[in-house]
Amino acid sequence: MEQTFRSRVWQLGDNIDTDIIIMTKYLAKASLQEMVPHLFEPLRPDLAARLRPGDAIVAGENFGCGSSREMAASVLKTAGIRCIIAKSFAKIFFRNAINNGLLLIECRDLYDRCREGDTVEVEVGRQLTCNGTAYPIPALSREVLDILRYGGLVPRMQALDKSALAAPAPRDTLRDTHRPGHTLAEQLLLHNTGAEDLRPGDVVTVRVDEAVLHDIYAPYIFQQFRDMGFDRVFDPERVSVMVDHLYPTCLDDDPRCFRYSRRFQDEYGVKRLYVADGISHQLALEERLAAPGRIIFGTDSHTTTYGAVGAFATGVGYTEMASIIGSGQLWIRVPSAIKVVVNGTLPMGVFPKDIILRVLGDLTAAGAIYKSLEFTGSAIRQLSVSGRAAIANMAVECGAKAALFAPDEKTAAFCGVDLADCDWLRFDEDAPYERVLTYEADTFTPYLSCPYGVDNVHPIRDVAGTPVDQVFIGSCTNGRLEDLAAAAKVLEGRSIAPYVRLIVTPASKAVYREAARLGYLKTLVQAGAMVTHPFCGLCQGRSGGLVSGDQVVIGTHNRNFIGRMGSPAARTYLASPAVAAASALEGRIADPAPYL
Amino acid sequence: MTSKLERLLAGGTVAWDRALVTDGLSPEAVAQITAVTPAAPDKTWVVIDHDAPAGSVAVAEQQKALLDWARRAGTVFRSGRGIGYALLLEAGLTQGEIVLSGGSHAAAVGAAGAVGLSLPPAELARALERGQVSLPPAPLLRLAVTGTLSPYLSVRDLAWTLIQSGLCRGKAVAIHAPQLTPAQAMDLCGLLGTAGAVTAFCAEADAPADETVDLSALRPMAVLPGDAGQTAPASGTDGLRVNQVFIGGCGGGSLEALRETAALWRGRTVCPYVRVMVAPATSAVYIQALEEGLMDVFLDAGALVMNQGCSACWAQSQGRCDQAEVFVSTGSINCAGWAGKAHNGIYLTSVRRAAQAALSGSLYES
Repeated sequence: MEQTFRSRVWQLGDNIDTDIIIMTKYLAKASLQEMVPHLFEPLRPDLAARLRPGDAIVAGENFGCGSSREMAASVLKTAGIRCIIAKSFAKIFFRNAINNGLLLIECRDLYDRCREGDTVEVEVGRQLTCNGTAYPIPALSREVLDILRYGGLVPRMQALDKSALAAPAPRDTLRDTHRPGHTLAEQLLLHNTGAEDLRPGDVVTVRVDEAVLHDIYAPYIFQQFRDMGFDRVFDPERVSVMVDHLYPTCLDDDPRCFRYSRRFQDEYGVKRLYVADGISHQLALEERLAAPGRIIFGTDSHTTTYGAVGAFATGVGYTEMASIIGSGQLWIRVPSAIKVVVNGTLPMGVFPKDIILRVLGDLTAAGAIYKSLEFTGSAIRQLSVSGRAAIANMAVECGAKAALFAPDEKTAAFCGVDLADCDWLRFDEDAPYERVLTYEADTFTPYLSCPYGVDNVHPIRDVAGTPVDQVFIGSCTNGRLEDLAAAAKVLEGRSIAPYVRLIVTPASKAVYREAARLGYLKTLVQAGAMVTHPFCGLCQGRSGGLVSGDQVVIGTHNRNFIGRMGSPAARTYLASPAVAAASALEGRIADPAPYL
Repeated sequence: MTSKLERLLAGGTVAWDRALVTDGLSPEAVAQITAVTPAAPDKTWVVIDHDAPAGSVAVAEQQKALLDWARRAGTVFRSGRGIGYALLLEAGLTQGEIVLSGGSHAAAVGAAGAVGLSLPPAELARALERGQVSLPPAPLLRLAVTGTLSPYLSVRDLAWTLIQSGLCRGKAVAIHAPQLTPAQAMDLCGLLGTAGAVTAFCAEADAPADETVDLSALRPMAVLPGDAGQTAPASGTDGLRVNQVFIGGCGGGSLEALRETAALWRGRTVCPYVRVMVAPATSAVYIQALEEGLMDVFLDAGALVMNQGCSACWAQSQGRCDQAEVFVSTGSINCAGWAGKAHNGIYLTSVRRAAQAALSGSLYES
C-alpha cells in the first residue's frame, strides 16, 4: 500500500447507511462495475458520476450502518475510492472494507473542519493533513494490518496453507461450567475457544458452528470462495444456503442468484439448501440451526436474531463468508456489553417490538457499535422465543455485534435441548457491563420508528392520525405466528380502509400453514390483504410494494432508510404488527388497543 | 342476441354497462383516462391487479394516479383483491351487458355472456366521459362447440385451434358451449379477444351456428415464444427443459385450475431446478383454496403461493427470467422481452401441461 497519497474530498453526514450507499435492488447485478453508477443514489443521485479514482470520502458518525451487504464497501473500492475518513464506522462495514483492501481512517475532528472539494493528504499509519492542519491516525490492529498488507481477504486466504486447516472438531458437548464475572458474549466466546480468560478488545479465533448463506449474495460468495483457492467447504453439515430474498424472481438479475444458490449443494455437497421455505432467520430457528452456545455467522445483518436462543450470531459480508465456509473459523474481537433490563409487564397493546424500538430510540443508531446487547429482567423472561427474536433481530440497528438472551425453560423447549446442558450461560452479577439500561415495562406504550431513521423513535401519541398509504406485515422481525395472530385479532370481521394497501408476508412455510389452519390468513384476506409467499419480500425494498412520491408506509420490518421503499421522498414508519394492522384498518397510524 | 348488441355491431352507439380501468394501462393511457370525469362512476371499476403489489416506483406512480382518480370521481375501487375480470364475474354480470376495458383480455367477461370490448385508450377515455360507446361495424359469428374434452386436452387447445384458423378475427363470436365450465369459458373468451376477435361471449343457441367445432377432434396445442398469435401444434416442444412454471392468470388462477393442479401434485414434489409459482385469481379463490387445503398441497410440492392478481402472467415484477430460460405459463402474454429484457422463452400451455412440466422439469408435446 502506498505510504502517502492525496485525495479530493466528498463529504457525507452521519449514519450513512448501506441502502444509501448501494440500494438492495442493485445487489444481484452480475458485476460490481455495474453497481458503481448507483452509489449514493437515494441521497445524492448526481454524486456517482462525479467520483474519480483516488477520491476520498469524509463522513460523520456510524458510516456504513445497516445491512451486511459487502457491496457497500466493494463497490466504493471498485469506483476507486482511496479511503474513507469518518468519525466512526459501523462494524460490519468496517470488516467488509478491510477485506476489500479499502483503507478506513477513524478521525473525529476532520469532518467539521473541511469542506467538499478540499484535498486531504494521507500518510498511511501516521497522520492526515487538510487545510494546513494535521490529524493523527489511530493505529490499526495487527489483524487488520495483516489483511491490508495482502491487499484484502481474498489474497490473504490465497496465501493460507489449506492443508494445515484442522478438520472440524467434533461438536463439543453443549454442557459447560458457568464462568462467573463474564458477560454472556464473553461466556460464549470462552466456551467456543476454550480460552482461560477473555476481556473486551481481545482478538480470538472462533470455530464456526453454523454458517448461513443467502441467495442474494450467492454468486459473490461462490466466486470469492473459488478465488481464495478452497476446493471444499469445511463441513457440509454446518453450512446452509437460504433462497429467501430473490424467489419469486422480481428483477432480471434474480434467476442467476437462484442458480448459484444451488451450486453450493451440487458442487460442494452442502446438505442444507432451503428453497421457498421462508426467511433464513425464521428457518434457522425452526430448523434448530440456532441453539444455545453456538457461534453463527450469516450473510445478513439480522443474523443477530439467533441471540434470542443464546447463540452468538452476527452478520458478515460475502468475502468473509467465503473464508468461513472454507476455513471453518473466523477472527473476531471480543465485544464489550450493554445490559438492558426490562422488568414488569407489558400493558395490553404493547408488544416485544415496542421494547426494542424504545431501546433503539434511547441508544440511537450509533449507540451500541460493536457491543453485545444483553437482555434480562422479568418482562424479558415472560416473552416467548418469538418475542425475543423480534428484539434480537433489531439489535443491529444500534450497531450491536450481537444480541443475547440467557437460555431458560422456553429456550430449552424451543430448541429441543436440556436446560441443564446450557444453563452455564447465564447472567452474572459480577459481569462488567459498559452500561446498564433499566426499564419498567408497565410504562411502555406502542412506539414507532419514524422517517428517516430507525432510531427516530416516538411514542404512538406523537404520530397517531398520520394518514398511511400502505401497510406491510412480515419480515424476519415480525412475520411469525404471534405477529399474524395479533394482526388477525385486530382485523377479525373488519375491512381495511378503502384506499390503503395491506401486504402480509408470513416468515416461513410453517408459519403460513399454521396461520392458515388457525384462520388468520382467511381473516387477513377477507379484510383486504394481499398475502404473499413466505420470503423476505417488501422489507428489502426491491419490489413487491414500492411506493411513489411521498406516500407513507407503515411496516413491521426493521429499516426505514431513505429510498428503501422506492421513492426517496416516501416515508416509512416501523411498528408492531398490532399497530400496523390498526393503521390499515383506520387508514392512519392508530393505537391497536381498542381492537384487541 | 340483444338489440343493444345488434345496434353495437351495426356500428351504432350504445350505453355501456361496466367499464374496467386497471394498472395494466400504459402511462399515456392512464393520463388520458384520469383526465376525464366518468359519466357513470358507480359503473366504473378501477382495479389494481396487474403489478400488485407494485414492482417499481414508476408503476406505483401509475397506480397512485388511478387511485386518486377513483377517489375523486367516486368510482368502484379494488386494489390487491385479484384480477379485474374475475372480480367483475364474481360480482355478477348478466347476459348482454356491455363491458369496456383498456386491456386486451376484455372478452373474458364473456363467460357470463357479457360483451367485453377492448378499447384503445383514447376511445376508452371518450366512452368513460360519454357513458356511451360505438365500434366500427363487425359481423357476428355463431360458433357451436360440440363433444367433450379428453382429460389430456384443455379449453386452450380449442382457443388456439380457433386462433390458428383465423375464424374469429374481426368478429363478435357468440359461443354455444354448454359443456364448458365458467372458468373454461372465461379462458376461451379472453384468449379469443386477445387474438383479434372483436369480442367473444357465451350465448344460447338462438339461431343456427355458422361454424361448429368438435372438442373430441382437437390436438394438443402450445404457443411458442414471441407472439401470442404464434400458435402451433405442440410437437416441437417434446422434452424441452423448463426453468420456470406459472399457474395463474385468467387461464390458470381459477379455483378449478388450482384444484386440477393440486390433484396432479398431491404427494409429489416439483423438480428442484424449476421455479414454480401458483397465483389464485382473486381473494375469494384464495380463501376457498385455503379452506380446501390446496395451498398445503402447493407448499408441500415446493411451489410458491403468490398473492391474488395477475402475477406472473403480467410478469413485470413476479416471475422474471433471464437469457435462455424456458418459462411455461398458463398466462396469455408471451412476447419477446416480456418476462425479462433479454428473454424470449415464454411457452403458453394448459394448466395440466404446466403442472406436469413443474413435476418433471420438462415440457412434452402432449
